[in-house]
Amino acid sequence: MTAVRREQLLSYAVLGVFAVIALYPVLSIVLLAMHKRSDLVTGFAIPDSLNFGTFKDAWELGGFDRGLLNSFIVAASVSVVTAVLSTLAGYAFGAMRFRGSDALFYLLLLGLIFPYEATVIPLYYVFRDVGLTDTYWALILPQIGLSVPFGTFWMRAFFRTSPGSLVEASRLDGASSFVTLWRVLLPQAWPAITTMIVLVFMWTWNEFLLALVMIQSDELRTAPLGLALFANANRSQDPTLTAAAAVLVALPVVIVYVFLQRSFIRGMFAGAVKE
Amino acid sequence: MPVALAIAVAGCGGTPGEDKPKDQAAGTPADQVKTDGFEDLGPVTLNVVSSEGSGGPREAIKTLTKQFEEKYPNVTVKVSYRDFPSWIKQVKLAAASDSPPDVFAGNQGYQVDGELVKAGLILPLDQYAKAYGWTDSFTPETLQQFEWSDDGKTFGEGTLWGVAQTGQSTGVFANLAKLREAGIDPASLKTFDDFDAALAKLRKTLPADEPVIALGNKDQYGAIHMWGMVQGAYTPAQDVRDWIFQKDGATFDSPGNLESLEKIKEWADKGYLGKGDSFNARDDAEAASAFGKGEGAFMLGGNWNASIAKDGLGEDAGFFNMPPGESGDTAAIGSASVPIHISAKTKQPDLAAAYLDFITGPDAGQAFVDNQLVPAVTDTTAEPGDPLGKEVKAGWDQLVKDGGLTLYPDWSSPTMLQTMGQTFQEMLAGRMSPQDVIDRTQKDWEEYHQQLAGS
Amino acid sequence: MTEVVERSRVRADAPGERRQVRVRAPGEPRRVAYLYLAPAFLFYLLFAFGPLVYTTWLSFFDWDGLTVGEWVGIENYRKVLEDPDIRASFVHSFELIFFYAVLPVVLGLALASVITHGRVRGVTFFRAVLFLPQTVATVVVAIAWVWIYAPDGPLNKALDAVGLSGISRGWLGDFNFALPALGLVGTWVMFGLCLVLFLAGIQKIPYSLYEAARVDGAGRLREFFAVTLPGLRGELAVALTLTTIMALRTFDLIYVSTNGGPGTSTTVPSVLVYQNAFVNGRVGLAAAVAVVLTALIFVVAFAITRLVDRDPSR
Repeated sequence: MTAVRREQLLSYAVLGVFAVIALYPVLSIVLLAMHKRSDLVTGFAIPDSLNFGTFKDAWELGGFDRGLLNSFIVAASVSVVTAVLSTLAGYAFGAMRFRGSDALFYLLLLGLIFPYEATVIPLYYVFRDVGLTDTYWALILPQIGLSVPFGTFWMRAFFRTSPGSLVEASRLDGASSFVTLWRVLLPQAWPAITTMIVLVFMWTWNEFLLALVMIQSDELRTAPLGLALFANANRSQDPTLTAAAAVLVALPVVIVYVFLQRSFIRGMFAGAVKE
Repeated sequence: MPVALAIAVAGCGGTPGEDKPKDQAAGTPADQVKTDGFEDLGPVTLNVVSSEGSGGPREAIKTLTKQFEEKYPNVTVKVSYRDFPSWIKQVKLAAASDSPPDVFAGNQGYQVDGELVKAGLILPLDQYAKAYGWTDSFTPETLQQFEWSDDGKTFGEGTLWGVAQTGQSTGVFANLAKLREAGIDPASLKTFDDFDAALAKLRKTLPADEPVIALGNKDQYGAIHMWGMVQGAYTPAQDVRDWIFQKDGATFDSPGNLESLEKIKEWADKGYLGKGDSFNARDDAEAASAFGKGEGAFMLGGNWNASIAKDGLGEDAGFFNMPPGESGDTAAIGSASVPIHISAKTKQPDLAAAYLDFITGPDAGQAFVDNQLVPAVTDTTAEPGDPLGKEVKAGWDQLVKDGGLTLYPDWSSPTMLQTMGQTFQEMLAGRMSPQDVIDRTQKDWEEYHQQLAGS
Repeated sequence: MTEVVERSRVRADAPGERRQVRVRAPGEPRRVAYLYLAPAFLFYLLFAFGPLVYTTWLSFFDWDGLTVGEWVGIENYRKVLEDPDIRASFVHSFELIFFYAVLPVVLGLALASVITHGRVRGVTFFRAVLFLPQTVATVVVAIAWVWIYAPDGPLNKALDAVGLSGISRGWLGDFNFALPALGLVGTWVMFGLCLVLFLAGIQKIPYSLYEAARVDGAGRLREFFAVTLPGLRGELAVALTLTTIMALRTFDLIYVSTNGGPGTSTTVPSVLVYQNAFVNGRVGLAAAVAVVLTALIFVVAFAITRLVDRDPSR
């Protein structure tokens, strides 16, 4: 066996081990969910028969139809609005020169790193005062505000590397900045925009703390919040049911990820590092 | 520019909570309280949140709610079942929101009920007590647990703010088969020392990796309940109650408390509670579940887990109060179950009160005994039908007779649940001494005592 | 960030060249830019930055969230500095940095090197699988791992099977091991992120540099430190920053799995913020903790970028 071949095998082995580690927890939950509810299961066990009944039960008992719908409404709204706002702002930062652009950009960048925990306290109490807790707005509005820094950063990176010649040509044809954006740059920006939408969608879908604080009623619970409460109540008596619920909650994002993972990953880091 | 912004925003801050007027607790004046005729209301929905997430209590509420809906077909009652530890964290947020549930569970004591009363989030219930005769159905000791002065500072007297469904007490669940195998007759355990000796015997006869007592303390209250019945063997119940009600001069730093804490630490050290501190890795419900599946000879906990024991062990499930100490009186943690309140913002106070009466009154007794629970009212005709249910009720009755219900220690301050929860976990894991636990607990109590006195 | 400005027409860029050109079109008012920024900034200031400022304001009060608050100046900050439990929570956060940031970065670097050197096929597949943990909701991650760590769960079963049953225990109930156990979950989540970042970065390192190193007689290890690592500067900064911030911010995982217990051994600042602001009625204290946490994050992020991203060729 040549050294190269040996190295190759070693690489595959190492990768294989890590892949198993990455997949194991996820798989164990999926398998757990497929056991019958009466099985006394702990840990990793292959069910003797595939049983999808638990998914149906979790769906009904945990109200996850509403939960998934709520999560979708919030995540979709946030990601679309963020995309629009970020594209506009990113365009300004990336393709225009104006006073204070650096300062403003740094101000926005701060939003990339500060924790939700710092904002959630006043958000809750102010929203409560104006009667907006326990509404979709309570989840959508703050998350737009918190996602815009990333989105703008992302789109700015894109616009900075757009060929200046195109922009200039459009300018000299007398087009306004907006038309330039709309007609010339946007068609090329689609991949970047789509990646951003998917990322923001994923992060918003998975958001937990904000929902925990803002949403008290059953109807408006997002899926992760519903899952946490459901798990607390059912974890010990009914592990298979809890596992099924967990799968239901994680599934949508994972599906989106599986189909789009190529552009997902590629786009995500091409943009982040392109300083 | 950012600085200017910051100042501007802060400037319109003002003192938090200032411009919110204290929510006026409305409710219906006493002479206009409606106790029937709700069919004429047309279609109406009542939102209820219960903290009984599982087992017998949950089943009882389901049954009673269905019966209520049958009585008033135009009324839909939507009950949301939460688990108790999560709910008491959320209840104040939920009650203060713009559309709180009409009816919801609280918790006796300063952490929840005191705060709810102070902020004006729940309705006073004196007029309903009169209309429905609650003062006849419940003992004064029971009602006392839901009485507060209007400013939420004095606990145990004043206006009535809630009612409860069942009597909760803590005691010893026994796996009778395992006791038989070890040659122990439960009837022979007449004193606490007898019980202690039985534990030693079982530790020798049971497999080494099986705990003698099934305990789950991850959610930080299982150990406290277990300790409470040991405390009862060393300390007079009235002293305990005085301390909980924040009476001047009461203290946690007593010889009885020290001895009882040392006793349960001894149990942990001798391996009665399981290997190492594995009991800190699972919660109360999990431990009950495990006991029901045959783990351990005893479970020292609340009677709300009776149905889990019965479902799992069938005829081999037994229950008795912890045998008394020197005083000869039984004493253990116990009280009425959680108070159920009516939100101050409800649009249907009378209907809510009718529902409250329906799920707590004498007629609700049957739903409780069917689930091995003890009704809190004294005038119900329902009687438990199965042996375990009978034993549970007998335990409760004995505690009431001996004046031995020591309530729950976490009622004594808003932070006590956390203080005791954490220190007990540390002590049982060998990281803190019993005296440390006493000092920390008393310190918490003193700080709140001064706060109450000063404000 | 200086930008080159030319007012004359520019020919199309030659391939391989990166020219940043900004054209100021005649008659285009600058102010239009502000218009484009306005909506985004409105949301940001109102719902993100504004609340941060308000949190700072709240930190000077003693408030229970229900009645009127009382001004106490820096009393809350004094408590943050003096209370041993609060200090301990920050220590726990830093311990988590090891698991969330250091370990994944090291593993990511190592694995990325192995992959590119080993000329592995199907990189896309492995990359996708290893990144998967990043996409799963933290609540689900917490639930899965609570089961894995359970006293009768697969981890202990595996330990028993290889004869290490002395070690097996209720991991998440153990005062000493609960935090590291949760830390390892963080490693599991963050590792894929680092790996993907570094893979992308390595591919951008010109092969000529490696050749030059080989010619100089460098072995694998040397090559790594001389060529790979410096070339990954940018990615390293991003990875360290992102993962460290995640370590300091983490809430979901802890809340769902141990809720800060046993005792306070897994309590981190974000959990304290939640408990005090919404459960214990000590909003001012919670705000102070939040402010200190935020300041800490800023400092750490800044320090990392300064230290790591010192790119001399910039």
